[in-house]
Amino acid sequence: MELSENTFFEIHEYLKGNGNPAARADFEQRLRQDPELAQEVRLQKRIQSGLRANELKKMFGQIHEQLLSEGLLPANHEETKHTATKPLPVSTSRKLWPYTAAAASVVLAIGITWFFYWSPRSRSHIATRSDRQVPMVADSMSVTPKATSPATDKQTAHQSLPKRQKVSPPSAETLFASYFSQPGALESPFSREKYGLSPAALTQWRTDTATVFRGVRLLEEGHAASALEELGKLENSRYQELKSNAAWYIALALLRLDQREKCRGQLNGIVTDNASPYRERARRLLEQLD
Amino acid sequence: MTSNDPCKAYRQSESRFYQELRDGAEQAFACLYQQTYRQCIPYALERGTGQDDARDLLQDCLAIFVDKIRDGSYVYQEGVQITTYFYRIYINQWKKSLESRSRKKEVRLEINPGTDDDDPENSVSMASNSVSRAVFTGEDGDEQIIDIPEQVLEAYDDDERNWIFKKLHRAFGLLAEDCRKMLHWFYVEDRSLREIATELGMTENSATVKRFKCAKYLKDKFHLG
Repeated sequence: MELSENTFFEIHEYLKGNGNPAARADFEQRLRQDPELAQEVRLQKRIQSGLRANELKKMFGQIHEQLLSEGLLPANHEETKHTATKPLPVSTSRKLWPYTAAAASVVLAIGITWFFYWSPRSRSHIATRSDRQVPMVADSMSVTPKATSPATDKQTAHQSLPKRQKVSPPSAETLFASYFSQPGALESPFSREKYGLSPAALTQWRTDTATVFRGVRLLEEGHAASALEELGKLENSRYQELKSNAAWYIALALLRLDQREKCRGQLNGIVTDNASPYRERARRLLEQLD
Repeated sequence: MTSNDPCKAYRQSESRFYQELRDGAEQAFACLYQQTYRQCIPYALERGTGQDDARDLLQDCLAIFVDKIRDGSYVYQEGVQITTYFYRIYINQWKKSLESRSRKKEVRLEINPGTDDDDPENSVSMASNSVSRAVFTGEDGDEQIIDIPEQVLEAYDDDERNWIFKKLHRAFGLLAEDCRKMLHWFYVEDRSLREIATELGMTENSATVKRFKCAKYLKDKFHLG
């Protein structure tokens, strides 16, 4: 059928549900009488559905990346198989039981030993006991003379810690460990009353969100340079919350790389950003860095 | 992060899940994806399909399924879980994908287990609905035989999947940038001609003509009819 501009317009008015009942009835009458017109309507509907499906497929690709980066999907198929479809057979688990029990006993014994001899509470207790001047295992964290009186031991234990804090400021690694945590739930910037009105904006938001999570994951796994690169992509994101998150994790990536000057600059930017939920944390970290 | 469960809001109400899928709620899409991924991917993987193919098939099927929900072709039925319904679609589509793999000699489809493997009559079409098992041959010559469940022999249309994600997608990608924008706004985003005209800096009349020309070009040039 040679499609005319007018027919094209009529078809789409019909598909959108426009027109009064009489006009729609007329059009349906024409569809019954004209197989070529009916065929054209089916084709236009098919093209529309197909293009929408292609957009939806892109969106599901983004969702996949996002869920994966959030740890909500199995990372590989082996994991999928185990978590979703292959529970351990009963016979195998029975065979493994004695070994599991033995392993658990060993772990328990080590734990009990550690608790009584090496937990911080028991260390000070040990220091006051005259029959335990020498630790059973050398303590790599503090230098303790092998044969000293209990009083000297106690003194050393109490004095050495503040001294060390004064001499060396917290390492970048220590600061990173105390400040790094996963980002909270990232709120969608789209109104709940306007679901899916702009697929392009939604796709962009999903891409940017996935980028934040990818960056954080890289950082967590110790790939600070790659994280920096990933998070840097959000410099011009139009979504403020995602930008604020990226800025904070960029600061942490710089910290982890021990680039203190750059980290300070980044933190200063966060402190002056009124919209950033990380302002207070950035201010505290700055103080510790200074 | 794992506390960020996308399905939390829908555990108590399947109809709410359906409603939000129809409304295009992101959380509902994420939940649908997570649930179906866990159900469907192991099915395909355990039957010799690669991870990428299994995921590609899942995303194709989900896209078609969600489009059907949104245009009203699929309506929720009380008592039938949406993901269970989708699982059947996925298995059907997976079966259909075996047919193309069969043409590439990656898999052999058979009617009756135990018959002579060399018999050419055992290489049959899935359309006959008589296939009951598939035989995969690995690089080392080892064979893996997979029984195909009877309950998934209902009709389905793999051609639609190819038409949408191969033919139409490719044709659309070959259009000029301005035509792609125009048709995307028109078909996908359902924008009015006035909005499109403003976006492109032209009159509404010119936009009407351009829209028609682009749509006709897409249809005729790439033989979509």
